[in-house]
Amino acid sequence: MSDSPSSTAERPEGADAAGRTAAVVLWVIVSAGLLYGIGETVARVTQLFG
Amino acid sequence: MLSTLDRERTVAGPGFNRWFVPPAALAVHLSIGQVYAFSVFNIPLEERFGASATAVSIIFSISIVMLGLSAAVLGTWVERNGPRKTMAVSAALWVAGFLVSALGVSVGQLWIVYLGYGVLGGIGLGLGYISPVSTLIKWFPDRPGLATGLAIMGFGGGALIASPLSNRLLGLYGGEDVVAGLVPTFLTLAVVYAVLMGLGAYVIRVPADDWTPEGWTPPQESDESSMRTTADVSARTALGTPQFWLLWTVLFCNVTAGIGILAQASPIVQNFFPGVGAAAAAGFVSLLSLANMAGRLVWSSTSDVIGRKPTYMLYLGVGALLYLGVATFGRSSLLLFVLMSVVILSFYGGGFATIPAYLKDLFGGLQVGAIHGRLLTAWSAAGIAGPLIVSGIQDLQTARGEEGADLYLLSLYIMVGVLVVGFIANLLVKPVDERHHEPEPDPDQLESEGAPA
Repeated sequence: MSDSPSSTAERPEGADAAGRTAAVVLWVIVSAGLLYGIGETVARVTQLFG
Repeated sequence: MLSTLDRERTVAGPGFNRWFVPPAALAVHLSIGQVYAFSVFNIPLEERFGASATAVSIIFSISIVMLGLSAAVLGTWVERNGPRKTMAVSAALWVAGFLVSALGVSVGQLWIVYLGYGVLGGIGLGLGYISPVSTLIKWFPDRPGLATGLAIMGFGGGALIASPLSNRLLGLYGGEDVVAGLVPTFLTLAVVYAVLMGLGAYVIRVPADDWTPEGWTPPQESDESSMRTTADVSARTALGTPQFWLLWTVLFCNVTAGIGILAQASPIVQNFFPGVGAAAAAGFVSLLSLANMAGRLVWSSTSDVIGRKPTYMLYLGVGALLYLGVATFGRSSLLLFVLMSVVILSFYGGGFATIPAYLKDLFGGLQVGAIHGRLLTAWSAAGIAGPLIVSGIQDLQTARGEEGADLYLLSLYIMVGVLVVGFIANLLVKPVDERHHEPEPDPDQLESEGAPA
């Protein structure tokens, strides 16, 4: 299934371009943050059976 | 300038990909999820103020109570004003909470920290929690469980990031003197969260009223078997339905059971297995945090396939059996104890993430954010009840001369009972009676009132 909308409100073209770029940047930031948090946590988890 | 925050200015244009919305929700939830890592600051704050552990722990309690209250009271405002304005206000309050707390620490006044992190930050928490959830539900009408799981997973993940980050900042700024590191750490976190939440508010979009995912046709009739309605129930009306209070009971029971074990996880594992030291117990707590986070995404997404009611039967029914297993066989094997606890905590996280989708099924999407906000009072109540049961029983058993795992067995059996009550409440959930449904919406009226899509 495509995730682009089948119908949307009338808006000037390109109005969301900056938002899209920011969304991609935000995906990178939140993914990196989650990886950092999970990595740090897994390192502590190893102490349980270490 | 402020008009850019208005709901009408956030309606997505043609070609907008809905997968651009989850990072905005995650940015907010990862930020406010820091609240679960606040205990990192407890000891430095106790030293700074010369205060008791109880006096400092009140900061966290105030913020959680304010979360529940603000989500309940301001839910309708959130729906009316849209996600961008709500997330901006949430960010301002959350950041102000850190700034005011930094002031309180620097002038040595604990009450200022209560006001800052507790009250201001707590209101920011409540607004930030519900707004992205209801927005994602509107973008993913075909997979609401996945949508809510994505957002609420961030709340669990926020602590995983904030805990090590805060420790590093305290060490970086204060060295051996962590008290000296408090103010710059609070200021740094304020800047980090301002940027992250600000970006989230900028990126967030709502779908146009007539938008649907390509290839997906909205159901024309309510599905009695899955209890997915095509109608809408207002937040005010929802409060008067038995379904709302049954789900309130379900959430209360699920959270009470999970939070009871989560709040005392370290001493519990050390008392069950005397060979487990403090470092290994910290590893156990971390593993539970991971299970809590993963359960939010995995189980909530699963609920899209198997249905919301069966999913809660799993959380509550299997959860009760697992609690019984921990109490009965838990002492026989550390691995078995850990495995059962991990599944229990994944159900705890799953319960949080699946409830908005359950609400959407029963009450429709019109005011699901406001209804969700009101339901979160169950979380506040469980946040008091769960730890009280476990610590109260522990004190009682200690006074009786019990020790080791025996300190917790009665609590575990009580949690089995709590989960059975939740299981029965879930069994009783039926589709909402048609007399509670809103009349068919008039598009012109909705536009003039700024009601959500």
